[in-house]
Amino acid sequence: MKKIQYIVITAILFAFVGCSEDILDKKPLDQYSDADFWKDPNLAVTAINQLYKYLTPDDSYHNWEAFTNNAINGVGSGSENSRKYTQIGWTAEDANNGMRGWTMDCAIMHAAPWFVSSKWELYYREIRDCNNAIKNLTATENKNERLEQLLGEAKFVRAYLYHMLTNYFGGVIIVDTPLGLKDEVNLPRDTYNDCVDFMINDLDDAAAVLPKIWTGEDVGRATSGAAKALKGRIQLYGERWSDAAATYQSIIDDPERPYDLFPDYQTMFFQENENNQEVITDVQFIYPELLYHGNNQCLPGSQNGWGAGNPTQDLVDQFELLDGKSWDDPSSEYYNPSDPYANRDKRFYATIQYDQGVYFGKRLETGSGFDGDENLVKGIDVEKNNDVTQTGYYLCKYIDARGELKYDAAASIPSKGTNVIVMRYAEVLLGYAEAKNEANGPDNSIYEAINEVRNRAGLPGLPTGLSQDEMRSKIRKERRVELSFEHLYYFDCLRWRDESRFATPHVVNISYTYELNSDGSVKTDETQRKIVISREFSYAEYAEKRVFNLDTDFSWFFPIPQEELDKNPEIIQNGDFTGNTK
Amino acid sequence: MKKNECIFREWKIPGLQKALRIMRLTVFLLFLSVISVFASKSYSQTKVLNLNMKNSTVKEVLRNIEKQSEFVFMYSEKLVDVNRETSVNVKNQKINEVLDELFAGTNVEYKVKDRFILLTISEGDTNDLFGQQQKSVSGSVADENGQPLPGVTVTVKGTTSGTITNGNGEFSISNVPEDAVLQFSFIGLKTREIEVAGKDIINVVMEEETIGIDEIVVIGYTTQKKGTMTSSVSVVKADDIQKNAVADVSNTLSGKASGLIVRNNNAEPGNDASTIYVRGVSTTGNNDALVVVDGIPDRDLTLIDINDIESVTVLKDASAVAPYGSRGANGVILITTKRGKEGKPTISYKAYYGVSKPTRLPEFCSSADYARMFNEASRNEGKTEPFTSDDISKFESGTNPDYPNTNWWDEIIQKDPLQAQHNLSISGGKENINYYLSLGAYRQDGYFDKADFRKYNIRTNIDANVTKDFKVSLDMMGYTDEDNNPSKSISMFLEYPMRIPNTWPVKISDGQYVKPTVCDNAVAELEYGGSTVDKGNNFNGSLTFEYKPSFIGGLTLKGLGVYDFGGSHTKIWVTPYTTWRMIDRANSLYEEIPPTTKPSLEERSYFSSAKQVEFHADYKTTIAEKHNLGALFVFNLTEWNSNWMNGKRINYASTSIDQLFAGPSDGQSTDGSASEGSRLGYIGRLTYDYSAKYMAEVNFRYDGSMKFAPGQRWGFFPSFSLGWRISEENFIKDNLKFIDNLKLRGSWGQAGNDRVGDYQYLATYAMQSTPYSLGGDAVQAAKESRLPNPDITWEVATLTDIGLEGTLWKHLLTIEADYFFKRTEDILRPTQKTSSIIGIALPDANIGIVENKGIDFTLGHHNRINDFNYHVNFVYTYATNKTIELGEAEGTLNDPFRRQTGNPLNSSYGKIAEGLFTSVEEIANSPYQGSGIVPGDIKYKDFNGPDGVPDGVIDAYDVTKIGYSSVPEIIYGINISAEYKGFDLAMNFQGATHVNYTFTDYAGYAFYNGGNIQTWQIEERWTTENNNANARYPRLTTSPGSNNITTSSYWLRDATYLRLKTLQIGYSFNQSLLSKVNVKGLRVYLSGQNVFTWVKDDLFKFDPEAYHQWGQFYPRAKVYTIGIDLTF
Repeated sequence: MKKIQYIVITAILFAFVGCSEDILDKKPLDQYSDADFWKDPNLAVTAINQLYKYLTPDDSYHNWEAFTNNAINGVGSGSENSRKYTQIGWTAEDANNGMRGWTMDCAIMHAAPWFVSSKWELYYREIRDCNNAIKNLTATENKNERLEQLLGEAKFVRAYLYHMLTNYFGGVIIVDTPLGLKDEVNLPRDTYNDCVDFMINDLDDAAAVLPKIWTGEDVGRATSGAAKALKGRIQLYGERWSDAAATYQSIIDDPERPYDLFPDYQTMFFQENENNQEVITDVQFIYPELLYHGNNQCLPGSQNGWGAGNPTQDLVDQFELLDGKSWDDPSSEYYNPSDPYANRDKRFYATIQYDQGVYFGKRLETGSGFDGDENLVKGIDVEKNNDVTQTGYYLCKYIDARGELKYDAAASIPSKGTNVIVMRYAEVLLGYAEAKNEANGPDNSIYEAINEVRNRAGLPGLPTGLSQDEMRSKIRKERRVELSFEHLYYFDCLRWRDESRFATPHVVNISYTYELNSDGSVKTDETQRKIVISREFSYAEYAEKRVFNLDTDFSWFFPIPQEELDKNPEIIQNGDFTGNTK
Repeated sequence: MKKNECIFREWKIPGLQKALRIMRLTVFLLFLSVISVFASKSYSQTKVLNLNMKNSTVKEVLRNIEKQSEFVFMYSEKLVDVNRETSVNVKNQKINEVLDELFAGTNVEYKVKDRFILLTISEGDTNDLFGQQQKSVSGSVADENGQPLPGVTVTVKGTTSGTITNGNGEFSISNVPEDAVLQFSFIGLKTREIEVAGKDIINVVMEEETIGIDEIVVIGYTTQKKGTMTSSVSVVKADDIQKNAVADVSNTLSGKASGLIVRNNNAEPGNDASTIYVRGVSTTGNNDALVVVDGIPDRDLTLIDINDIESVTVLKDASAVAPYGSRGANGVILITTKRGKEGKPTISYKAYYGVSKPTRLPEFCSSADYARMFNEASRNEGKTEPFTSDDISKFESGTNPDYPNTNWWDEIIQKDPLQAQHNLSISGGKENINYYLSLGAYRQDGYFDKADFRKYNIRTNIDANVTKDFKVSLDMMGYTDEDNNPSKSISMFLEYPMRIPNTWPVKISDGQYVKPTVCDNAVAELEYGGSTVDKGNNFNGSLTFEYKPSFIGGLTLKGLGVYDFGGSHTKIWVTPYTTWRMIDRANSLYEEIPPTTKPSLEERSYFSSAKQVEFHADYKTTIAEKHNLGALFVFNLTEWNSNWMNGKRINYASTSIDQLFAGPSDGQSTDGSASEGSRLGYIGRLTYDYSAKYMAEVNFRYDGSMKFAPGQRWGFFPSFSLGWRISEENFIKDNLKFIDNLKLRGSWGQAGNDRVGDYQYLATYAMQSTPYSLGGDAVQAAKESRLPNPDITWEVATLTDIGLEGTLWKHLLTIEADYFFKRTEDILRPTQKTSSIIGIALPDANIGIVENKGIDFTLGHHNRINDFNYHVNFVYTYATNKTIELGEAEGTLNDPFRRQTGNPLNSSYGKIAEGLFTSVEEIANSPYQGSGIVPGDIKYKDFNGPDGVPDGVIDAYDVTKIGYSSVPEIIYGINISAEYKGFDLAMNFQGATHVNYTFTDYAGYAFYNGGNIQTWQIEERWTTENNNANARYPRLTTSPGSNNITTSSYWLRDATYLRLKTLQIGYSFNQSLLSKVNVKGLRVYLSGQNVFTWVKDDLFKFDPEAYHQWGQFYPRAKVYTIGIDLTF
């Protein structure tokens, strides 16, 4: 009997294992399978939400600005990685002709540095997500209005991503569907023109279905105006002047135009004025999950920053005096070389931290002087080994420095989740002016557009009777000032083919005469800042000397990453990045 | 009767045994007298017997007599040795004649009472028996050549009494029970057990232990005699493993078995498990060997207490791994834990205490030298020198606290951190139950004050014979650990000393911590930065039913159920603190930096479990005495699942309680997920041998894995092997007597690997952890997470092995050598051919092919010179692989310089350095390698360009294979052990070669990212005065120039090393002394781990066994321990 029991026990065990193969049918528990995903419109919305993240700056704006004569990346920006940006397109040398940081001149650029290859890969990754949404939403039967809008949103983002990609690389491979393993991927590049057509097509589709404004919980989504503004920009970059002018004009002349300039240039960028009337598209950051840190890095060490992306003297010089004359024009009623920062374009104070300006309740000190014992005493914002400016200036766009500085990352703007503007109405006005001027030469509508922007900055309108060339340079200057550190100037420089923009930028040196205590030490105010009686300014090339290697058949675009050339023999490299030198 | 007696023996009631024994004899004699009453005459006189028996026991003879007559024998086996072998040949003889012959020369007497015959022993002896049942025994012990053996341990089995033979090999031992068994043991000789059985004098010949042939080896799902095995396995002795002062079993195996390549990239306490490669690397995917513990695959080696290990077997060839064929492609490590054996309980206590310190660390220069070098670097770049000569002399004098010479490593390291282990085990068995119970505790303090690791484990292995043919085994293992660390990862603390120059003071004179520009203040971060606490709990349990039906001899049916579960809990408590920024060193000016964040707490919980059910049918039979047949069938089902969740709160008001409730719910976050999986397998094996001379084996495994799409799930993996014991052939036996054993074997087979990411055949979407915000509120965002490959299936390795095993001159030389060749196909890897415009990470596809081949061998030597006994064992593994197909991008594939296909996996690739530039002219006349190159910079070789020819530019085309991978091709070990009198010595040397590392970043470059400078970088550097093209460090710059830190042969380090991994000297106390205090054995030892390390490359400043190119690995420890092994 007992034996039988044991046989039974063993048999039961056998029964356990004798179950069916179903046990091998498992489903992922940490993801949705794609079959389930697109069936549910609520999930489809989450896929579109993801696309908006791709409007986030692909690098800090100051890094891009430091490719131009608007900025130098400060020593204090610390890592070699950030400093590398200064060397794209030129070789940077410091004042003593020694090499500073990394060198990466265009002759050896086809060994694409990581930040170039990462852009190529990054944008195609993001484009795939758009393609996925577009393909699956297009295939959805019985689309309601919301689904059509979602499709439009996806097309808007896709056009924006191709816009960035073509900005960096020129004509790229147009991929308009999510590719599978068995699809041909070794495709040749499309021309820049084809890419422009493709983007415009997407934006026309988007503009047709998107609403003019979003309300409530949808504020921040792409609008028809955003699609048009982007279309205008793409046409402008593509030098389709009259098309661009027409597109921009359709925005400006819209009787129900939801956009207008925000009265105050400085606070337009602050958190309190997010989604204001000037904003066409912005990245809706949220604290603490999704943040843009770029501009915080530009604060001086004394304000918890890294001292990155220092504005140059060349940029500072662009800000006119309130009468519209240059700061060094003795004919101006505001001309004052001993206090060059007074009575300037309002945008100057919103963009530049300058010596003796007050930020977070403390005066900036970027000069130096002597104490009673003839010892050199540097201002706090130039005296430290790190995190100090290379130019005498710091950036303050987006920085709300009105209150006290708090040693709390959350308190610093725009880390707090302040939205970063991608397109605003001023760009539309200036874009219109440029396109129209290139197409037809100056006319009254151009003056109106540009003067609207100037007046907001407290400046008088442009003198009338400018030639097309004069108008061109006025518009370019206005764009540079109005849109500095907004990731536009770098592309402007490239499309204007203006090599002077790559020249070695100028910097300021400030010598203080301090008020001294009786013991010869420097007197300080209640904020521990040294009291300065007078300043002397001298201007020089300094910090880094830029050698622009145009003689090496420089390409205005980035090289396609070598890795991609290795994979796809159909790709033809940009410019002379193929490895031949001189 | 005998077994019942054992029960009482356990309990040691004084006098009871003796009383019982007397009682039994009394009964016997009473019975005898009763039957004698019925006695009648002359059957014995008349009955004649015929016997012809050769080599039979006395018992069989008696039984034969009983069969052919009516005689009944009565005897006590205790008195009469009936198991003695004898030969009788009698014809028509009477019983007394037969018995006279049978017992001639013995002390046996007989009394014939009609048909009853009583066998007893001579009067004197029985007196002994009745009078005193304990006696003295003496004798001598000699070896096979008749040489007396001193120092042999003689114990009365199951007691603590015993002695050791004297210089003439003689012993004497008193108070020995009549039925006692004497155990003779001597290291290197076969232990002998001899029943006293009334003998006064016992002379013993002890034979050499036959290593190998009769050794029982645990292999997949069964055990086999080493002699008849046809597959390639290595066995690591538990003894060798247990001599290592490390916590993780994986760290004990290096250099212990041929074919094993063990890599450890981090020796952090509690996180130091090594990766084990069997015969090197042969796939671009997961190369790890499969770990099987007590027959259960995929158990965590880390959970095993080293002291619980009975044996470790490494399965290397196709035939050996076949039972685990679906995942055995990379070899299998089989661990078997100890089980109880029948006998008195053995209580064993093992413990050691030790202190550790890092084996090798880079050396950093003084603050004064730092300042001088930084000035030189600044000069080299035409910059102004930041340090004045006054600064430097202040650094030199060291009197000014603002000009310190801070050795950051010394500041944070804990001196002599403790390492200790305890293990207490009880094992034994009674008639129906055998048990092994053990309890272990381990503690290891880290190099840093806040880092330590503790673990506790418990194991019970119980075997119960429910009936003669039905056995149940219950194995349970419980494990808990706690790993304490600072909140920042330990690797950061290894980085800090490389990062912070010695010029930085730790504190301002008033005790406030200084914030170095480059990173955190390491000391403050350690002290105030918070903590990470990892706690783990694991349970492994299995219940096995084993049924050997008596009606089918040789058949074993086995069913087993396994339930393993484990969990871990991690708590990361980050507490910000105030530091002070240096504003002006000369004027001792500092500025307070209050913390920018508030305390935060993150807790993570992880739970996983695995279930297995398995059924075995095993049949063994012998046909016609020579044909040994075996068949095994196994069915296995495995299911596992895991889930995790975490929660985080930020902005704590206070640091006094580190619990989630104490933080504000504003800003809190949670997350969680789960996964599950399953596998089905059928395993079959047929074995055959002819007189243990010719052997053959066929195996298969048929497996289904949920990792693949239906239709691609099942894989069939066959193998077969052949063996020939040449030494069993007469021509060897007769002519080459020095050959004790010689075997040739070969195997061929296939094995699979499914260790790839789950569900690669499915397209999926995942919610993203970062939300977006719309309308001012966070909204969920999701994206496609995977490009599916529905065709994905098993990776298949085809393994061929030819091996030779031999034992010569009675173990003066043993050899086991194998040649192996392995071709792994269908390797799962993403193709590199596809342009990234596809926009998503490519799924794995079955595209790769890698060939791996090599040899491994073990050479052993064992000898004994009187009481000096020693073993030398050399293990060697050479494994080199070649990639045949990688799916490499066309551009590089077609470039003979850059292609990786055809080279070993993970070889080093980089530019070829041709020394340093020494003049501006040289730079101008050399290929262009970027602007800004000056003398003292590295010069690279131009050998390639876009058109396949040198193009005058140094660029990505000038990259090629420059060295080996970081997994060594050759690894070897020399193991020496010796015993003399009570002393024993063990040494394990271990080395590797054909291995290259490259150190970069803080570990490789001076002033990297504001970092420190190492002493060798100063000593070897190029300077304008030392304008040497062969200088081993380029010109100093204030941050390393991109030209000089490009991956190149300049920075390639040869990591060839040899180290004395284990050195242990022990002493075992004399047993006769110990017996007085009821102790069976006591051994004390001193041990050193990683005592000595030699590295070939003098610029190699890190521990050679671990590798992280940033040098951020926790260095291996030199550990000195003192320990005891106590048994009673």
